[in-house]
Amino acid sequence: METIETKLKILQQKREIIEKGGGEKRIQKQHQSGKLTARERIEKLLDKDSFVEIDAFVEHRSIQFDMQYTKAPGEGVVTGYGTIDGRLVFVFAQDFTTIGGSLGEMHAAKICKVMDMANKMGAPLIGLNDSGGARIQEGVDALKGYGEIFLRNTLSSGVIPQLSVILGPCAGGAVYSPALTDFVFMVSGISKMFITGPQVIKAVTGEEVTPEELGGATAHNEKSGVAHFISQNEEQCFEQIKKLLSYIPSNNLEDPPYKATTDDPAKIIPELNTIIPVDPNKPYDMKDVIKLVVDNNDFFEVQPLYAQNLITGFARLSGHSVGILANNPKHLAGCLDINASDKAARFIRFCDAFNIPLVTFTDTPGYLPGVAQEHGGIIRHGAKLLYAYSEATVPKLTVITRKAYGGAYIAMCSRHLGADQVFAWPTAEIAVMGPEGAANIIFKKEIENSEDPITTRQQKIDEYRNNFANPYQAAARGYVDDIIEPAATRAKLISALEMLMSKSEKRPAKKHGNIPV
Amino acid sequence: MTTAQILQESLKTTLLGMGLVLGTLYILSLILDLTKIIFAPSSNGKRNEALSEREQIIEEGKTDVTEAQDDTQLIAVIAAALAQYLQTPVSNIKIGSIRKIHEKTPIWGMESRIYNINNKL
Repeated sequence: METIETKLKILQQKREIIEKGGGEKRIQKQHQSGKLTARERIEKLLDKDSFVEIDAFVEHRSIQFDMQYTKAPGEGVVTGYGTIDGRLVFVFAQDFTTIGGSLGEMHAAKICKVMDMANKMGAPLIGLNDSGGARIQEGVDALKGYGEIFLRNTLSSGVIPQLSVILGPCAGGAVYSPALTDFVFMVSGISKMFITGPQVIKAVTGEEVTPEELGGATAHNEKSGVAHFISQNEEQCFEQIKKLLSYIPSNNLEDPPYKATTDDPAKIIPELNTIIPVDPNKPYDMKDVIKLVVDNNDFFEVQPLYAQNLITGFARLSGHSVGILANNPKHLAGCLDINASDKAARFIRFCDAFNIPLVTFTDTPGYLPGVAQEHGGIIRHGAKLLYAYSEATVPKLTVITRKAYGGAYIAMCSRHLGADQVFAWPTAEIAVMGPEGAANIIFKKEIENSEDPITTRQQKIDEYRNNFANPYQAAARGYVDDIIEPAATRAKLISALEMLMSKSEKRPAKKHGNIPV
Repeated sequence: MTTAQILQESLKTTLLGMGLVLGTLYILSLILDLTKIIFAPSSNGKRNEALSEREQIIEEGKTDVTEAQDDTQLIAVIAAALAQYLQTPVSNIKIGSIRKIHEKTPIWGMESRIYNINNKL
């Protein structure tokens, strides 16, 4: 009969085997390829000694293709919970050293269990993805596993924050779990995401492309917009995750974390009075405006490389977390296009789902003209922005710094879409269209019949600009709540935000809306 | 002695007793006030300088003046915490103002948040 000492020894031995994953050789190989192991990643991500593993002893039950002889310690995924900055989070980390981190029935079951727990406890879920894809030997059971993960991703969407971290390959159906989550983090050089790899693409379309070009961190951060954050190494990536979590609540009932600040809420910022160029066609960087306004100039940008004509990110105003959206005249003159609309709409919906107030800085001449935009569906994509702002019930504040023309004026959280407070700088130009275009239409005959059409046109443009391209017409109708000195923007926003803390706005009961996806 | 005389004497004794007690209490309060005047300014100049500096810091921290309300307990707690933090007696702390910060959404806002959650997918 085994003594308790023997039993404890057996337990210890089994645990050691599980903790070694695929074994020393494969761990070395993982390190050589510039990657950490699943357990090392969890250790670096969570607070020291806070990780509690669950389901370490789970094993697969596949017998096809001699799988009964294949041991997969921990089933190729480490799952459990722990804390980040003292807040509870649930985590799973695929272990590439164990059968390539491939996803089989029991591997998926472990992930599903931790997802269910995160949902029950109302805590964020962080998935560290590093997997070769479906475990082919398990056939349709592997597919079932993916399906069950996707279902849980969807049901948890808008309930708990879900973060996906791509730290290796993530191909085929596997990409859809990260795609369903709120934020995707990628690391240059090691992260790869694609539905079909370069070889299949070459076979089918003849196109030649490297894995990095096709689905690397840069490709998805700059071009596709699939990813939200890019970092140079895993440590930097984990810091980004911690920073992001500091702005968002653990679930959709909680408020975002409040952090007391030493930055004066009533601070006057004289630099803002001179930040707008005198020439209305000259660009400036809206990020400079944002950084000057927010607490300690600390702005955490989301998707900084994608659709740069529209800025999204998190910051704090007097300690309160806010989601910031802004047109950036430095890129495409701040025009709204398909990508910017998609980027903004998704960000707005995240903030609204998680009770994060929205602050919008407007300087846009309108929607980007062009055949590509029209045929690409700017109507449908642009409508998402209108939908998202209209649907949002969190406090909504808008600051119009310069141009706010036509449909884009409406789309950028105007009073008409439910903004709670709209402020305009004296430099604001709120009109149905730009002075040049308006003068050409309104004074067409006068310009044509004039002896000097060029001079007349310029006169009419100036006349229109002076009479209509200003904030006073809108303010006279109450569409703008106040025209403020730019230097007082921070104080005004904080005052409005504090006033709106008890905002209560209800929407009609419905199964769900039908956003023009 | 008649009953009336007895009652008269008793009244006199009562009044004298009460008068003595109240008089003693009044004198005691005067002594206490005098003690404050005598001992408070006895600290050295440097300490006063440091104290006024701290007071200034606390004063600078204020951004708003709250409406008059009975926050005696709150003030006592804040004063005690500050005293501990600044390593100084509570008597050296002067609370200039307290501003309430809404860290959490008030119940008014929470109600609509829950309503909207319950009425949508």
